[in-house]
Amino acid sequence: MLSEIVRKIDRGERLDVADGLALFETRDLLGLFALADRLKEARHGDRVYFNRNLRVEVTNVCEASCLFCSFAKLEEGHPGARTLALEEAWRELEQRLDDPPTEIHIVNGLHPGLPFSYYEDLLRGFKRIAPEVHLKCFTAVELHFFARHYGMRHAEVLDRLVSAGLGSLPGGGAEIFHPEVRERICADKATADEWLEVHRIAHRLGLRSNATMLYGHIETFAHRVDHLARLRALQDETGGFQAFIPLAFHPDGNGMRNLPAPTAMDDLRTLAVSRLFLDSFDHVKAYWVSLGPDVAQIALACGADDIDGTIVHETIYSAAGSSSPSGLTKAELVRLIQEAGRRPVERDTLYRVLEEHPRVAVPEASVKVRDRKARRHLDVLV
Amino acid sequence: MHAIIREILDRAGLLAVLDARAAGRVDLVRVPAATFDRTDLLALGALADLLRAREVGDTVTVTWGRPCDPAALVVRGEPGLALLRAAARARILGPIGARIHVDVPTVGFELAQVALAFGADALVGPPVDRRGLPLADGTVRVKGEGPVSLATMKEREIRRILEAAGRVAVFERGADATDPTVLRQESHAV
Ligand code: SF4
Repeated sequence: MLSEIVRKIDRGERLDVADGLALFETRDLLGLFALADRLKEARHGDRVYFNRNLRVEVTNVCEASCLFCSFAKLEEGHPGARTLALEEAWRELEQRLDDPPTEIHIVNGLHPGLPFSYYEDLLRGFKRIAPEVHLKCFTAVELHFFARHYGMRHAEVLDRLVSAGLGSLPGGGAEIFHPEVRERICADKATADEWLEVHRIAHRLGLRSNATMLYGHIETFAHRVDHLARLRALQDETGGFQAFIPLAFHPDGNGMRNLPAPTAMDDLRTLAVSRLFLDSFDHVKAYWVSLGPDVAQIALACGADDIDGTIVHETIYSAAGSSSPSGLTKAELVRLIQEAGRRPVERDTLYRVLEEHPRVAVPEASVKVRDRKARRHLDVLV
Repeated sequence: MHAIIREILDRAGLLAVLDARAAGRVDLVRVPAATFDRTDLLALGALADLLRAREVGDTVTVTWGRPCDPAALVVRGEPGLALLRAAARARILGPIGARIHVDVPTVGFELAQVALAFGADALVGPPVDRRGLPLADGTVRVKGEGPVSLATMKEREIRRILEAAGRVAVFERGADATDPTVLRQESHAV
């Protein structure tokens, strides 16, 4: 079966749903990885992208109740519920102005008690402090919530946030689109169609965005392929997606804690299939935060061309008691990529190259990376 | 062998190793030491996996609670990429049909499982949980079965994972054995 898929790819034909399923089911994993790596090399050569980013979560109060979420607190005042004052959020950036991030990545719970102006002021404040910084903020789930909660159309929400400084959209909240799964794990937030519609409108307004898939819980391989097919269809229509980021489900501290976590092989397989199936996506990201630095390095040989960023500050995972580093320095990221035999390229959010580092032979594990084996606990990305 | 695998082996200059080992001539396997540090990781893995499938088949031995077969080669303690290269090297340079163990407590189950696709064919315990901690003694209630020990649940999970990868788990427990040969990245024991 893999041979037939190789022939199809060599003929320049697009993979169909049956091919996607066959790739998820193949036992020829090294063949799958080699094929994905070949496509990645054809598109990007030996380059692997990363950026310097700052993660900010301004509130974990959320009116939704996704089964996989360990982050949200239902109401303000509940133990652990936390909403930052604007000044507290801005301070996260002010503390880092000696080596400022190029991107601020903001995702939150769906807080029913904040005015819309809070979010506009939040963005304006960041821009006031660092006019050059790119604001990648609010998942489609949040944006859909804003539209419903504040009585606006999606386009109006986006227009107002763009006026306040919004630069692009992160890819969270996609989870699994198929209703057989979505209705069981996250029935009370944006549907698949609503998620896709927000991205469609954002792309039409000239914004770029990312896309994710939360895998490894109750979904089947068929659900994963359906998810990828829907993303590919929208990409064919708009061309607005930059990167696809598969996110491994982690069961700690949430409503699906009885399920096992996906294995590293499942992580690598999912990345490789994504590279092959999403032929119109430029970038497939091995998100080191959820994979752990070690598995993310291996993923760079399985079709991934991006390892995400320094993160710098991140509260969701550390709040959940994770032992993983809450950030990696730029030097650590460069060395991790070099150890994997690739050329590190620092990019901005829109994949413009900021600095090319050399590809040099670095002995594996020569760099001390804190908790490099640790696998981060994915709790929420709305 | 898929064309794509043949292609990456050819590019890495590793096709001759297949022929030499197929003829039982480990003495003819010539792989410069630097190859194991620099060659494309997937090429090394593909070769090691082919050899593993030919020479020892799909069985994965899981040795819990006692040292493993003293003749086995054990890969342990290496970070991800180096672990995979060490497993592949042990398979490519080791005796025909050698058992290549991965020491689960020092590398974690995640990476141990990946190493099984890079030439390894055995896991050595003790059993650990997701965080790498020893399994507790407790039980969980399973519908239709009553209390089931955590060790049994772990065993079932490992079986399921290995079966999904086309491998067959065989669990070994019990009497003592002497320490196995330890293969480290810097060692040239094979
Ligand atoms: S995943 Fe997002 S929307 Fe769902 S409960 Fe958590 S914070 Fe709320």
